[in-house]
Amino acid sequence: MERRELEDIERFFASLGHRTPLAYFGLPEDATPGAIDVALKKRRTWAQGQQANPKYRSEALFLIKTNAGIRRLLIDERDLYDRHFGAGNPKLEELDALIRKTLETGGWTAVVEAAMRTHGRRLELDDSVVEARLGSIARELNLVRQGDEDLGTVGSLDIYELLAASPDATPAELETAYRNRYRWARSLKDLDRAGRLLAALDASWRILRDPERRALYDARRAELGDATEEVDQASQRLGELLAGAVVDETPSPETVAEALRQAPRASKTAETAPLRPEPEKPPPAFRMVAPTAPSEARPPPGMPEVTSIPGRTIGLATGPQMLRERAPRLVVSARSPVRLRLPRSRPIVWALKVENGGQGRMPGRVVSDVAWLVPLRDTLAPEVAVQEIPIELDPAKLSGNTGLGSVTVVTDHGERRTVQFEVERSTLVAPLLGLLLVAGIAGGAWAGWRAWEQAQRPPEPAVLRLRVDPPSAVVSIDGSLAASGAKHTLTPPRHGEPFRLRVEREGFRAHEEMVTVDATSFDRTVRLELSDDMSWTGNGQPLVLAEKSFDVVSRQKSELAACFKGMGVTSLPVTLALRTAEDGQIRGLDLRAEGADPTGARPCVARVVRQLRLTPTPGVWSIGALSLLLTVEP
Amino acid sequence: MSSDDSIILGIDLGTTFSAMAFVDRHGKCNILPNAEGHPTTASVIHFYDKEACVVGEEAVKMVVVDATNVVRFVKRYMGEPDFTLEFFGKSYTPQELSAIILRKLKDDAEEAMGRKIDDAVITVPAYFNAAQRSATADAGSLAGFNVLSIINEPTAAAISYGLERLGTDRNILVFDLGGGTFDVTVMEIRGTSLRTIASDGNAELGGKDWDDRLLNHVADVFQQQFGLDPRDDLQPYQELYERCLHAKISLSTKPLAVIPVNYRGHRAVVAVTREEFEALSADLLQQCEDTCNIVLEKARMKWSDIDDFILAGGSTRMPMVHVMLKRLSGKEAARGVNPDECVAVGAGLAAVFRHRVEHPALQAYRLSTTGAHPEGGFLDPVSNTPMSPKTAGTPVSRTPVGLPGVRITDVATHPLGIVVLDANLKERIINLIPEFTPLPCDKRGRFAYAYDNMTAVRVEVTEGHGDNRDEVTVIGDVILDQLPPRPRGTPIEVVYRYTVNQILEVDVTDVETRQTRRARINLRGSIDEAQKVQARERIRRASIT
Repeated sequence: MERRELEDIERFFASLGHRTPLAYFGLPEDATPGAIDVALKKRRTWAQGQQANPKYRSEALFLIKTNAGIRRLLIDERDLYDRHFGAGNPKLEELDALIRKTLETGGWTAVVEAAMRTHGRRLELDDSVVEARLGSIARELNLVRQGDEDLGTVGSLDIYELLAASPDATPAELETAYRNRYRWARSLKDLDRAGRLLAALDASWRILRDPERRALYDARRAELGDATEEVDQASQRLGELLAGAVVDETPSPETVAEALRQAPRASKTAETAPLRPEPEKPPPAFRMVAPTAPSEARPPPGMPEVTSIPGRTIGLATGPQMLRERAPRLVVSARSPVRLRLPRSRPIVWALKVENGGQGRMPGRVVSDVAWLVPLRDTLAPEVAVQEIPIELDPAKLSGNTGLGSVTVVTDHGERRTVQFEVERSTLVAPLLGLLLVAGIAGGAWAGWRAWEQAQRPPEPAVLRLRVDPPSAVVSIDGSLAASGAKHTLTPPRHGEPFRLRVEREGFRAHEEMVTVDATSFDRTVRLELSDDMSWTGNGQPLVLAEKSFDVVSRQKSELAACFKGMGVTSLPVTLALRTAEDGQIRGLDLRAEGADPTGARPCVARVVRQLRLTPTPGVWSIGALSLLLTVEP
Repeated sequence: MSSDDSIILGIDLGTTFSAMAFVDRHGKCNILPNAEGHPTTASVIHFYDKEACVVGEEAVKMVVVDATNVVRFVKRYMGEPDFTLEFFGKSYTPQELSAIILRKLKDDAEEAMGRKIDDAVITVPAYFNAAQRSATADAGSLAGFNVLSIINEPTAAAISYGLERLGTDRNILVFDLGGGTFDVTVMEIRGTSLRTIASDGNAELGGKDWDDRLLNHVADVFQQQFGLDPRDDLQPYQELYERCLHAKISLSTKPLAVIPVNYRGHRAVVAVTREEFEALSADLLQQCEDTCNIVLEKARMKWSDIDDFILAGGSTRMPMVHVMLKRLSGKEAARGVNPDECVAVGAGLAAVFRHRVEHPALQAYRLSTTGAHPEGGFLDPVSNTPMSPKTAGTPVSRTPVGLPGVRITDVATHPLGIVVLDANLKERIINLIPEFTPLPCDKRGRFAYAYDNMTAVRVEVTEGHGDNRDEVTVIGDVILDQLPPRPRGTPIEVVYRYTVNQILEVDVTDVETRQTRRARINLRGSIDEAQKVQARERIRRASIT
């Protein structure tokens, strides 16, 4: 039986005022399995009839739902039952005796509760066990926990915590918080829990929406906060006192009373070291488990460890930053079209440079669409960052003296780049001259006709060809969005009339100028400058480094590039790596180019322009404006 | 799809009452009374022997006599795992119990129509979650139905109301307070299409809670007088519950109700005025009001934007509901809607619109309206767009006959998300399908290996609002395994596909190897195929009257 199920059962019977399940069924602790079976069946039938009765609803539903579990515990796993609920468990008997005596002497207060928990831990009993027994014995003795009656339904809950709101939230914020929590609570699957939550939320809201009652509650909450601290210290002292007394036997009521008398003053006594180290917190409830513990032994490089954990959940990470770290990116540097002059019949080999601009493997293919263009290797080497694909151009296979063709690189991750080839074969002079002559005449005629046509017609709408560096900027004309991306062909409003051109990109200073296009076409390159208030973000969150700052960045991209060049780094993207020690302290800043030898990394200290603040959490942070990747290594 | 003249039953499977309706050849949707002649059938089952039971009014009568063998409010337990009830040594899941009610309806309908009826459309409260929906669909199939789709109750109510008002643009609010569930939905009618804007509700609030308030009050009064609590014994409790239920109903028409209590030889007569009753249940009504406001907020509307509101569900007969809604909206509820029947009628109509596009009544309407339009154009009655004048020249009557087609757009009422690890390997939830996404929809997300050398990824599908696992419900999972081990960051694509029939399919693709796993997620608490076959056989064999 799972621990959680057992705890649920225990809590349920304790909440009904029965110390053990058998007591609830009205059976002696040594009842025979037959008698237990009969009692269980009888109670289940009762539950079935009472499931709609408002008074017994939750009890009946619990019995119906956990009937099998209760049966298993009482009949099949009797030894577990005995261990947990008493008979033959000396630790529990000791705890019971102690609780009873303490309650009789000192009443039921938070101090007592904390002391009992401490004692329970000494006996290696779980807090929940201690609380359940404390609750049931207190109920037997007709005791009410002090402080409970004042707070009513809300009990000792912190309302603000319940509403997930800050104690100094405005009424409007509180209302939003209440509504959100209410909606959430209602969508819970565990109906019992939902019911309790809704009741508590309702009660909280009734308090908080009335300013007077809220003020009262706030005052009381402040008091409670102080009290908790005191209780913590007091209980520690009490635990210590009791611990001395109960090494061999149950403490006498006098010892307990004495301990309790001293307890409230405990906060003033000298600091005492905890009796035993705090029980180690269980590991965080990760349901997603790495095949190998990520913090410890990673498989040595080159020896991938194949692990699969059956029945366990396996992590699925989110986020573009994870992807960016890994995803390959195809970069083909050849400028299309490639114009080549081929010899008359001898084939030549031309190298197509293919780069992996991202990370990870990049398998792919190289294909050609004509016979005279033959990639001599038709697959990409997946592991290689920069590779050259030899392409053979065979003039003998050309059908004429010129040819148009293309080579396409297709990666398995779905990117493709096409490079166009325009080739011309060396020919004899005469046909070439003839060709030139014909072309000249045709060209002249066409130009003449074109000029005549220009004169006949009103000027055509102007065209502005715009190149933006860095790319992916937003371009607007006279305030309305015109385009976004790197290269644009834009149509300005009117030929010969000035208009306002604005190019902006986050992190860069916006560029704005009045432009007049009076020719039919107009080329312009706009280079954006880094803005001073460029925000450094990673995954949408500002990067904050606790009390550490680095002066890293130069004002302009060109300056930064010069800085990189001076360090022997020539290609972007570049990785800035913060070296951090185990304690989270930043030890250094490495800068390295993609694909370069990592050992060649050198610290970069550029001119002081702005402070970059980073949180030393491991991860990859991207600084979008420069497509720098900032890796924080654990 | 079966032949064109077969009947599809629209079934309102309610917490306390169920009803069924179908569209006849002429396009009229009629409520089909049960074998006893009542338009609605009480959703109550009495087991009088092993696998022999009676459903409806007769079962209600047995409550006070044999309470432990009577089951009611099954709908409240739909989709709950581990919930079974035992009768004569046999245990039944909520799905099976609902199937018994559905089989009673099926038998009665077949008897009345003199033919076999296989197809059905069943309604669920808009706020039902995936598990509850799938349990309802399972119940239908256990009962021997071919469940064509599951539709939302407010949508159905709005169809039956909106049919007369097509062509005008209106926003309507459906206030559906049934025996055990509560829903508020804002819908819009635009031309001939009907779309859900926002919805909220509580699958645990209904007329039953009002009964309980009255019952608790009466029992408290009795306890004060005699020191005995009639709720403690089964039979007196059931008797008292019946009396309170009837008193609640009379309080809707009379200002005073008198409830006699007999328990252990003591007798008390407790008189409750309508004001007292309203005071007892004020917070329940407040919950309804809050929900209305939440829905309007979600729909980004004000009360003044609502053109009509419709009341569905028997509990809306309580005067306090009318008073509250009038105070909020400044309007009266729409007339001409029968709160007990409108959901079933709407379900019958929706069945035809969705699954029987060649229904004779729809064809008749198309024929009668594709004539000369007043402006001289031709309009398609379904899309309201101009048509080619191919039917010009055919004789055309000016008054439309038959049934106009309606396009119904339902939405996902709960956000659906996925459990992932963030950059710090902390768990969080990412919503792939946000709340109120029109169905069908198809949403994809790119994720990645969280650790090096993983060989499998598990997609856990969550439902509900929240950032962490405790705030949402994990409704199922899909595992893509036997993956080659690769470093963290290896991309994985996840696609959620939510169909109009409210079935969620999940595709998980390894982007690099193109390995894909597609699955209808296994909903927690649902029953597997083998159990289903067995249960179907059991329901078929059981004697149900």
